[in-house]
Amino acid sequence: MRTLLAQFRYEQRSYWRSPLSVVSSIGFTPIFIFLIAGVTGETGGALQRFLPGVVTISAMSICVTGVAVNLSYRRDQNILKRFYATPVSPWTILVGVVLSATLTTLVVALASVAFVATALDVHLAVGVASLLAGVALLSFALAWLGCALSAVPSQSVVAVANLVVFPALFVSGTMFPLDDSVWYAQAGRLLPPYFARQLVAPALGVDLGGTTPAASLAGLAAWALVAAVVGARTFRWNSAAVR
Amino acid sequence: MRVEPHAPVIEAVGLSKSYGRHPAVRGVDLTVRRGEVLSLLGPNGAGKTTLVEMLEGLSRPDAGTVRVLGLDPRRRQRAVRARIGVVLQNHGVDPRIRVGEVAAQFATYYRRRGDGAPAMRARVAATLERFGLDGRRRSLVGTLSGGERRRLDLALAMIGDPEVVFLDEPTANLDVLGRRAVWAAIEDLASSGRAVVMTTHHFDEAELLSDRVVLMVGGRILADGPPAALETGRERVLRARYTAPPPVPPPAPWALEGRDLVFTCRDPLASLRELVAWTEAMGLDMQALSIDAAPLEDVCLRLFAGDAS
Repeated sequence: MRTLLAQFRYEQRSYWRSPLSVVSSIGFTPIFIFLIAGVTGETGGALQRFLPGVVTISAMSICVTGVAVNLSYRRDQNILKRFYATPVSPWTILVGVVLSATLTTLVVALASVAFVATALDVHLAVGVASLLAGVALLSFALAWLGCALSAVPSQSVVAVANLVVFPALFVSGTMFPLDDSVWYAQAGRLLPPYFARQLVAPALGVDLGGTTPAASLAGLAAWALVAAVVGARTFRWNSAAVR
Repeated sequence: MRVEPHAPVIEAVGLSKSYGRHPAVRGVDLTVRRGEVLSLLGPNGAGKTTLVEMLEGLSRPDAGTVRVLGLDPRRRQRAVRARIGVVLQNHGVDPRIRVGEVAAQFATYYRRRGDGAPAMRARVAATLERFGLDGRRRSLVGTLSGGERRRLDLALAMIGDPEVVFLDEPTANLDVLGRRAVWAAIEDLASSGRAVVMTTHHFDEAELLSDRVVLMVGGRILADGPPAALETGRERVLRARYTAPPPVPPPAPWALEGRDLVFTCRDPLASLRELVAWTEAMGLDMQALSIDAAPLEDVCLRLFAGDAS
């Protein structure tokens, strides 16, 4: 447990000391909200309904793309191999990465809500405890997807992550609402971003209809389980093709 | 398991490993004893790193067996890694972490039952001091010089107080001062009775630091023995320096290098007689005369060339 805690602290230091990571994760929400406001012409409380989607996109970015790129980069730089040459267990490294991504997403989600509430002068009916719980659960699940994607070679990991993340965000209706009758919208209801958005929406005072938080949680948990198994089975310490 | 003094700590038999259709290591047998410093020398692609990674348990052999400290390093990965220290060919430390933080992090990986926080802090402080990094404790790893990074690698390898240390090209890309600092650290390791297995391209450091040198080419061991034993049967280099360059070229196969007459031979006494006779006949004034064993580098190059042909 002490080793896991130390690994978690190590991951957090590594993340927050990267200026690019800080700017892109914290700056993402204000930029996105201003873009939405500009495109839709909506202001104030009307923007609140976009928050679950913004938080979900942010979580997908940090936990899926971010974790996949981070692990793949570290594999290329021999940082993972250096860990491998010690008695630390692979699970300690992976769980440390997942927990760190979870905390980062929580911080970003809270910053997003605080930004919307203060800068746009919107009164948010936010349940902080349920927001934290929801974001923590969805981040934890999504970060395992990132671990699974990290098996892709570093040269192509960004492209592959985008290929997975962006279509999933679109067909799950996270980017903009879809007509529920079309087949891809129905298929999108089985994807992690859909469950993530549904899970976090009630905590942000937004009623999206659809699946209940419990069903969304179950859906995300199923994805997390599959991703953890795939991630653990495909995880490689070395960048060499076959070792 | 306790290891007796001078008992084998590494025993490899028939180790082979291929990458695709390319054989990297071919049927290598190797034994390393406690307190021994062994250098693996060879050109690029000789199989040195692949062999070391199999010994460390980082890579699985296609054939053969390895025992490190009496254990199979693949089956008993964590048990073996708790007792070995590894310096990889590439640095492999996150540049955004401070020196003291990464040392503390690695210390937790090697934490033993009963190690409290004060003991861990003391171990980290002692290790950083030992490798001259105590003044850089708060520095980000990315700001260290090449020599400091290599010393940090050595410190991280030593923080668990290992019984066997593997160093993969520990002085690669270092300047003279950096190399000297790493040499001092390796001599320190050797004097503490640990077994050290080191790969290197530098003949001088192999000769200086090792009890034993193993020459590898094409995944096979070409020669194995103490540096002095590799000198046995070496050719001698006979060098005579004159006050002025000889006015006529010397007879073949003597070669003229400025004021020096140089000859590589197996029978230095016979060659010396010929040299003295020629010097007297020419009426030359000899300033200095030396007979040295051919450098280890020359021996290796000849062995490598012989193997290639």
